[in-house]
Amino acid sequence: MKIALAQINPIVGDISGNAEKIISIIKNIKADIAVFPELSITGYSPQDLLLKKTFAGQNTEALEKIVKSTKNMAVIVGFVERAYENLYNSAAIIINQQIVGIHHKICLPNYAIFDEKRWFREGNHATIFEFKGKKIGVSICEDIWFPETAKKQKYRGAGLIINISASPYMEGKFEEIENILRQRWEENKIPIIYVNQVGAQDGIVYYGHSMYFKDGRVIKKCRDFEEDIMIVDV
Amino acid sequence: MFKMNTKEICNAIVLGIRDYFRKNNFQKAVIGLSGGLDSSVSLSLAVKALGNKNVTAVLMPDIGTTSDESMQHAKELAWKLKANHKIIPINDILNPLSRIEAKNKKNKVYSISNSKARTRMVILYYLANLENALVIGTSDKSEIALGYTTKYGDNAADILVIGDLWKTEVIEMGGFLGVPEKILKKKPTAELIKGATAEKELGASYDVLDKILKMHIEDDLSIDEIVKRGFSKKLVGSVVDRVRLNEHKRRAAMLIRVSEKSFHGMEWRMPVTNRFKG
Repeated sequence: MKIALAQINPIVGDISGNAEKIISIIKNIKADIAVFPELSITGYSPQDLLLKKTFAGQNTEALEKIVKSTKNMAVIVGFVERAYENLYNSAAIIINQQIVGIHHKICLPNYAIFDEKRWFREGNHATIFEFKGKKIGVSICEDIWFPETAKKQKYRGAGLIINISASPYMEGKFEEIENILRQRWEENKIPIIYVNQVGAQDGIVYYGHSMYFKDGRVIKKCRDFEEDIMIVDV
Repeated sequence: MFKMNTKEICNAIVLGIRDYFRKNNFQKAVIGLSGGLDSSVSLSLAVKALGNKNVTAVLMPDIGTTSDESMQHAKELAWKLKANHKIIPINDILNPLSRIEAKNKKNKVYSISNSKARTRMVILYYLANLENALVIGTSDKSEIALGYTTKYGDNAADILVIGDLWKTEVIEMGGFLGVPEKILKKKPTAELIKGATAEKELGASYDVLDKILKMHIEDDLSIDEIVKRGFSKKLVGSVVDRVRLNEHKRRAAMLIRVSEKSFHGMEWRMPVTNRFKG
């Protein structure tokens, strides 16, 4: 199975521009699954734009366009889901023009530059989906920093974990995230696809470093600090 | 003092600069260049991120106070980086202010000193508006922490490119970027008053100040805990006091909130880089 790690640099609030970029990659990539970063339709972090009802509405319309573009393949893409009055930091799981599942981010970071509990409700389900005979777990950023979600996904039969992130740079971060993925590997012995946003938003720098992690080590990784698309055979 | 991954941090800062300009539809930058460490490193980073044709370095001497050496170092760096540079002395703009009478002579010296930095800000924003450019600020993390800046003077800018590097880290970054040794080794000075050095005004070397600041700000240690690690109580107390008393310099003007939704910083959290028009 070929998986494309689409490490893109979205612009916050440019919903149609970000969606066009995502659709153009989907149309041109030769892969079974294309994976895009956390909140890649809106860009991370939209902050108080999330308080505007039209914002989530427009991001859902953009998601519908992306869904239509996914012929004979699967796509994992980050978006904001509104359910009644609640917002969820979400990953849409799309297979062949159908949304087959939505993962709600379970671990919402609320320290340092993060304030996700201001806008989002926590999810409570360790999502997995099945594609081409393979069970795959989906998680969002902080979910992979703690053991529980991956452990539940393994228990439910996942043989691969896809994590979409918008993780900011600070010195030592590359080693830190690789260590986190190594811990999840040690606990579960399941390969991990990690796709991180790249680019800067108001002085916060997202470093990329998207990677395929297996056998306790990085098998292949995207370039740091720039847009990059990498296809791995899983 | 600090062993940091300079190349990686440089790449992060360059991306931070580049995306802030690109995503907000700006190409050009202006930056005040004094010939000192901070502005030299900031200019080098700006040129790396935006290209030499898009960055204008502005030398703004205070004739009578600014040393010839500073001017020479500034010019040499601008030539080395092939960046445009302009020389605009501040005296003609500043002098009318100094004619305003003041009862308290000490306060007047203080006020004139700060006005020098504010005059430079006026010149930079004047040029920025002419060229649709953004102003790059040159304050480093140590100065921001200690409030060793002039409010709405050198601390007024659109983007602070070395604002998260301690002074001692700025020296490392300068070495990595090829800033000449003579600039890296100079004693830091604001050059607002002739002959004054920053370390004399602050009471210790930046090597020592950065160690104390790092423990206080990044590790959240108390005064007593820092003193136990071998620093004088008087110095640690004065550093911690400076950080506390200068909080206002790290903020926009304090807005008094009286409505359900205000622009108070605790409440209004809009991104600056924002393309949402809905």
